[in-house]
Amino acid sequence: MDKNSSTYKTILLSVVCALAGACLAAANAVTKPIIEENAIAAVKTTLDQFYPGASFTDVTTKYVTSEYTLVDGVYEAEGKGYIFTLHNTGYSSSGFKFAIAFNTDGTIAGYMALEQNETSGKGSLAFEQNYIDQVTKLTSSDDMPLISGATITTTAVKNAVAQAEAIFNQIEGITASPSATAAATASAASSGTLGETNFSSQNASCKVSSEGVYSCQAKGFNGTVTATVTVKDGAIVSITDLAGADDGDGVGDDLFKDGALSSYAGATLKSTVDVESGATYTSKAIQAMAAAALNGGTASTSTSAATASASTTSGATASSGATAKSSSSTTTSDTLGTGDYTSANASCTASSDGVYACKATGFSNAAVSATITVKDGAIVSITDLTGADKGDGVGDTWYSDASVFNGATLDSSIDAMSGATYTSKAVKGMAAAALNAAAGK
Amino acid sequence: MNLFALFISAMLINNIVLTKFLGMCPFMGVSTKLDSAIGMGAAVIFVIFGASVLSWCLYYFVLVPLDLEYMELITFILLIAAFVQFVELFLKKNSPVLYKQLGIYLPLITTNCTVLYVAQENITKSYDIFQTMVNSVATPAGFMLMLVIFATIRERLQGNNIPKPFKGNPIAFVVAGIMAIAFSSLAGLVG
Amino acid sequence: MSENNTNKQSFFSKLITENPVFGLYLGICSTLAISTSINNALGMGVGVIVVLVLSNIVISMIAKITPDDIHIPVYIVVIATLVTILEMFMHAYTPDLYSALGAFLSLIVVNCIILGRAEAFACSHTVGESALDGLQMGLAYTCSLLCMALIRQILGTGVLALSNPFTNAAIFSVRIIPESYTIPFMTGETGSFFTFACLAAAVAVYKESVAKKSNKKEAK
Repeated sequence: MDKNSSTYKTILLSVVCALAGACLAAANAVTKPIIEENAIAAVKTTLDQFYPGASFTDVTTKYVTSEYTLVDGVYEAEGKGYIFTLHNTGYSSSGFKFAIAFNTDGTIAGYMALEQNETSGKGSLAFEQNYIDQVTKLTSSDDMPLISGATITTTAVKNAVAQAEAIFNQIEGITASPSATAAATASAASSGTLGETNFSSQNASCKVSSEGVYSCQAKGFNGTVTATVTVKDGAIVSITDLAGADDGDGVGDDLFKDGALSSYAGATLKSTVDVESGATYTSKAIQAMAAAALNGGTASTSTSAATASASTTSGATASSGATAKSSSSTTTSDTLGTGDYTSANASCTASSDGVYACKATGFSNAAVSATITVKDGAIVSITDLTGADKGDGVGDTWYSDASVFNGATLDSSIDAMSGATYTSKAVKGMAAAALNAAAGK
Repeated sequence: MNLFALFISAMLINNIVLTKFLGMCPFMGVSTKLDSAIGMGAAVIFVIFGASVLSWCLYYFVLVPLDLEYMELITFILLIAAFVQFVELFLKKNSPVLYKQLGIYLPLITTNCTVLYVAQENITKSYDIFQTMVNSVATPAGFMLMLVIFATIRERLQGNNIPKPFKGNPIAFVVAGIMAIAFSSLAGLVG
Repeated sequence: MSENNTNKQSFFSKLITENPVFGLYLGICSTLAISTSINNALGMGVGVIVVLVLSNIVISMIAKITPDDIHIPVYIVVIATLVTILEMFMHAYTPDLYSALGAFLSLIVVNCIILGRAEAFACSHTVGESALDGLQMGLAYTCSLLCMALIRQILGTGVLALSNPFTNAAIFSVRIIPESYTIPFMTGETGSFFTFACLAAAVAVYKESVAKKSNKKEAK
């Protein structure tokens, strides 16, 4: 066949292309499985750095939609939190990659660079220990801080983390972690029974004013909500005089109208009362007060085995509008002995036998201190609790009354106060440190 | 990323010559005279735009549905070569004037790193068709900008007293280095 | 006469004067981009050698049966296939090197050196000769990359480090310049251009001197 004829040329080209295709297909078959394996392995070492030993599931395709352009991957650490791998471009055009992990209560578990080429001494500061320490004190509702001199890089970090936070807050608001038992509330519309639901975030408490009548208070959306709950024979008779900071804000006002709470009449700990859609916090505050009254004083808290893992308290509506201080839910399963209080940097020095002068870091890096008395492995009292964050409206209840710690041991679980996560951690950190010091650890 | 920011970023901030070092070969050869610089630049913009859009379509409408993503490199480069060939023939027949001005650069462009790079970048960065179009015009526009600036500088340099070893290409690289410093100050201009 | 003189040039001398990167200005794009560390430089260099040798072999085999007017696309398909296979294997077995080289791995296809050698040499020589030529050119390219990388890495980061691309284990890591004396922009784009310019100038000087020597010899 003539070398220059068109048929020859076509045949030659097709044969060459076909051969090429075949070689490539073969190479692809060989290498593709290895590449996929590497991808998981590569991420696994990163994931392990945040939650060693946890079991991870890749939930990227489940949560990352196309508008989250900066999010590469989302991994769920079962029962502990979520890790996000992100990328963005800072000063160096090659961009950087980093990972950030959120505990289920919204606090940041960790932050580290995976790949970065930023200018040494400037942009690279966004990935160094100083910044990491700052970041790990924040929550999923906070913006990443900027560093002067590294504005471009830190802004890029901030924007990427904002996307991760948006996804995370959405997750925590909508899904119930499958390992939690009936305790966790799945969405605004449905709820567990008054007896089983975990109301620790509402911090409800009731004082007996007369037989069967309780004046209760709980944390609502904008602040404290109060009501008078009448209980008889283990069932609610009525809830009246509902008042509080939420009233009049346009959301949930219906609940404050007369007769709105008639659905609670006859409710027992085994009843389920619907949460009013769009007024999740207020509804839950009311439910918490009802449960507290039925329980004779406090709503069911963490020590019940049902709430083994972190509970979510914010409904779908909360994540979009909630402000930083009210939306974080707390991990209630950690005991003083097992909880991680490293971010609170607590330390105690013995001042006399069984008495410890302790200090820790609270909200906004405020210094917190207290005197803790320990006897026979249990806390006798926490007194002289003061701190730079006292009086700012957040966590102040701790400063007035830390009696919940009386009798606490390393095996006790103390609820963190909702909205005062840092101060709570600081106080709990000091308690744990004192108990450890007493035990000679 | 909004399209305007993408345009500025692709053209100025992540300029393909200064930050990604692509398109250097024709750069050294063509940037000595302003006229050829402009001609080459225009040709490159046209070729890259056409080739990138076509290869984007090829990737998403043919390769992905058929699970043949690994054929990307081969098909892209063939497509580019074919496209350039086609443009050359078209120009030759229909517009001899334009052919005379641009035609000589076209074969050079086929093996120009820039074309293949832009075509692949549109895929790796998962741009949609509009972002692809913007990127495919902005990036070669940046290349053309560099070409023009360089040509003017080099024309002036020719009359200067440059140390012997640096004459010709080496001094061009020094100029490029200085320009890299100048343009790096644009980082952070858009979002 | 002059041919004898060029033959008298030692292998190393030729390595410099006929250097594809600094002498002939081919394959510049990747040289500028990859020479940030000797690890990347070696990785890229080896990749180019592999592709160059194999493509030269294949092309010298099919050169005779390929009609002239379709030879470019055919050669391109061959080179592109080889590069894609290299990419796949690098992705699987040396993932860190793969991500460090990034887009430039694909761009080996349009590396002027490869297509240039295919056209200039491989299509008109035997398989053995072509393979050898590929090896020589590839080595010259790798040496150039290494020179640039050495300078940039030492001046830019102060550390000379090499690690095994398959396992990421460090083979050695030596700090040569204390951290506060490093010149950070050397690892950036500017440093790349300046280093290249200086090396190119140095090669030009060397070429001059070689040409002068051979002219002198000729004159005798």
